[in-house]
Amino acid sequence: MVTTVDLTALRRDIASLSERNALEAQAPRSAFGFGDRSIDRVLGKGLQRGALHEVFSAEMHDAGAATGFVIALALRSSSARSPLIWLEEDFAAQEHGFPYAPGLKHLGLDPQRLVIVRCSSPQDVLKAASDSLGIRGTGAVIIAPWSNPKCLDLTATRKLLLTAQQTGVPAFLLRLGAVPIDNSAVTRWMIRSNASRSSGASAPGHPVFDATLIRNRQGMTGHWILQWESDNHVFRQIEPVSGAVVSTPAHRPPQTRKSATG
Amino acid sequence: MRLTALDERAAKAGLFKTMALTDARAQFENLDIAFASPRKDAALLEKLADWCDRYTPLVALDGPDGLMLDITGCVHLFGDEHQLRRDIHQRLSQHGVVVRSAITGNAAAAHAFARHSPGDVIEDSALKEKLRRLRLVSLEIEDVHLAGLKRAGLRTVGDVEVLPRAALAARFGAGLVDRLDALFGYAHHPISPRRIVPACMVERRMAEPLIVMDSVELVLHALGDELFRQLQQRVEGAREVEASFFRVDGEVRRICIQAGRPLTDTKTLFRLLKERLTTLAEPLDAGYGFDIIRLAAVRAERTQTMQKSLDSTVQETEEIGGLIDRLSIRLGTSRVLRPHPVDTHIPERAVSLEPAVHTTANLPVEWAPVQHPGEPPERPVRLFQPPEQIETTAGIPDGAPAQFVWRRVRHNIVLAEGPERIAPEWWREHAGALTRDYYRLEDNQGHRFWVFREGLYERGQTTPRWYLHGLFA
Repeated sequence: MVTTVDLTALRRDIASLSERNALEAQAPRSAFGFGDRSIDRVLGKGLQRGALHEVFSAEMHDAGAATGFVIALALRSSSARSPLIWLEEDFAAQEHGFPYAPGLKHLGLDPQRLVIVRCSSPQDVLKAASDSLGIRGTGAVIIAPWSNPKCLDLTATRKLLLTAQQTGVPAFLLRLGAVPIDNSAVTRWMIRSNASRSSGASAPGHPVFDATLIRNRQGMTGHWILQWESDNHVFRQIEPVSGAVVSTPAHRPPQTRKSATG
Repeated sequence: MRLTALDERAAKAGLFKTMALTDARAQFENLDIAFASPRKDAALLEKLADWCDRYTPLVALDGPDGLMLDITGCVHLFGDEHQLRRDIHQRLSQHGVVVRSAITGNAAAAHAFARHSPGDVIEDSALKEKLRRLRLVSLEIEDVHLAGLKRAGLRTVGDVEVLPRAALAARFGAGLVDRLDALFGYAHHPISPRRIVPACMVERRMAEPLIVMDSVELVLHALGDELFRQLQQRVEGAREVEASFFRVDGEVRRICIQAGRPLTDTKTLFRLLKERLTTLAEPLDAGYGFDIIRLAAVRAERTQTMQKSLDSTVQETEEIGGLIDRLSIRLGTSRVLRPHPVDTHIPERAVSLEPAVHTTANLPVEWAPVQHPGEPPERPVRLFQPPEQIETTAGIPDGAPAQFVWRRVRHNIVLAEGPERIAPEWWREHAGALTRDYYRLEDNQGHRFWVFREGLYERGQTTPRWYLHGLFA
């Protein structure tokens, strides 16, 4: 029996394979954007993927917003089915609520991707974080110690940053009940809740974040009001609702340094 | 106070169990006594049972003072039955334990011979004959029945065995007939081993006890290679591996490792084992040395052989599995979790967090409630467990609150949606559970909350209470 090989079909297959590979190679694995042109323009190529990003909740009641923002960044930065490792110190969960899978699902995160690691101490959180970042298959790592633990210092964050840079795995430090101190994070965000666009009948709408980039080692800082659209995983910049109060902390002056957009 | 146990000398001197202590003291002035402690006895017996694992994986407790070893298929390792029995006696007497033992074809007979005869290895051919010669006490039936049999002039098991069963059962109860059947092997009573019989097991017995940890590690390496070679032939990997260290002084230390995916090589096993050793509360101590080291695959699972693909995803999945195993061993399996949906409307029960080592991802599942495209989230990202009570001021009694105080901060509500009524699950809950009305609220600062009112206005006698259950993004 003679096996006939359709050479042209074979060539086409090979061509499509190499094309896909080429496309994948071209896609900037090194950075991720917000999906909104005005921010992505300010941030250049977007945020660095294999890096440590730090997200603070401005006040206790903003814990939900900060969590949502971190989830949104994790979704933007990781590929669709890659596992997400969430390391949370017990006390943070007791104080600010436990991560709730059905709610995460509604933000666009498939809970199947989630591995929740409960740690009893900040040391455990950091050790697990450096392990998780060392694995290339990890989609993103969310590191949530509570408050300002002593062990989360310049050295520790520097180590995390280096590991993240080596493997290209994005690391997000979710800081609840904490105040910013100097560390090696590449960007630092201060998140507070903002009035949502009602979806009708005076019902609360999509998540809206008041996001201030208070530190950016690689470029401009800025302040944006962002709405997260969980259906297509994009942020959209929106104008503040007239009349709605965008809270400005009394004890801290609004950020003006190198501010790009209002 | 009464005597509960005697040593050999005391028994020879004529003391007996249930004898009053004062009577015994009257006979022997300087009697050495120790208070009975069934708990300590049981602990010692457990320890001995652990030690007996060296002979067979099937060790069962037999009453408060006996052990039953199923040595089927293990005898040849020690030569023959006589040598095995001698080995047990010799080693145990070194530890100061007085042993009586018997090896027979069935468990009940072994029990009877060990307790009511000098004990021996009894071949199957001689078993029935020897059983018949045992005294009636060996039947271990109730005292009334025993007295009854004796009054009838019966002296040995053989005397009873020849009698018609129906009459015996009618007169002395089914217990006696059961006992006879068990002794003669007509009825099979399986023993219940203390530990799971491993799927695969390898061990090394040392002529000289190992003290240096490095050599222990070498032995473990060799055992690991052997274990995985055997498992590989069955196309299996180990989900749970137990390393047992038998110390010469009778201590047995076990270290268990669970993995989220079947382990197939020594290298991975060793990484996990090392991780485990560093987290042990009391470190592995060789003491006077280990004389047996054993590696057992307690649970084995079929492995899927995958071709090493050019695509890196397979390797990455493997790596994640390894990470989950390592974290589970370091922090405990109950701390490394994956969420799974549960079919219930009660929010706090809708997720069950299960140890990631026991579960596999990638099964598509449905999470309720289903979100409609374009709609904002209906469930919060963070859930308080338990819900936190809040003080509310409602515009209308039955509606959403106009403002509430949570953790001493007042929130003025500008947007509200609800109620979403969730009724208690009457088939599960105690009678006092109340219906909850959930509201999604947004205050004038933009904070979004999930609150609920417990109970209904029209029905309850008391004013319903409000709780904050979660925070939205």
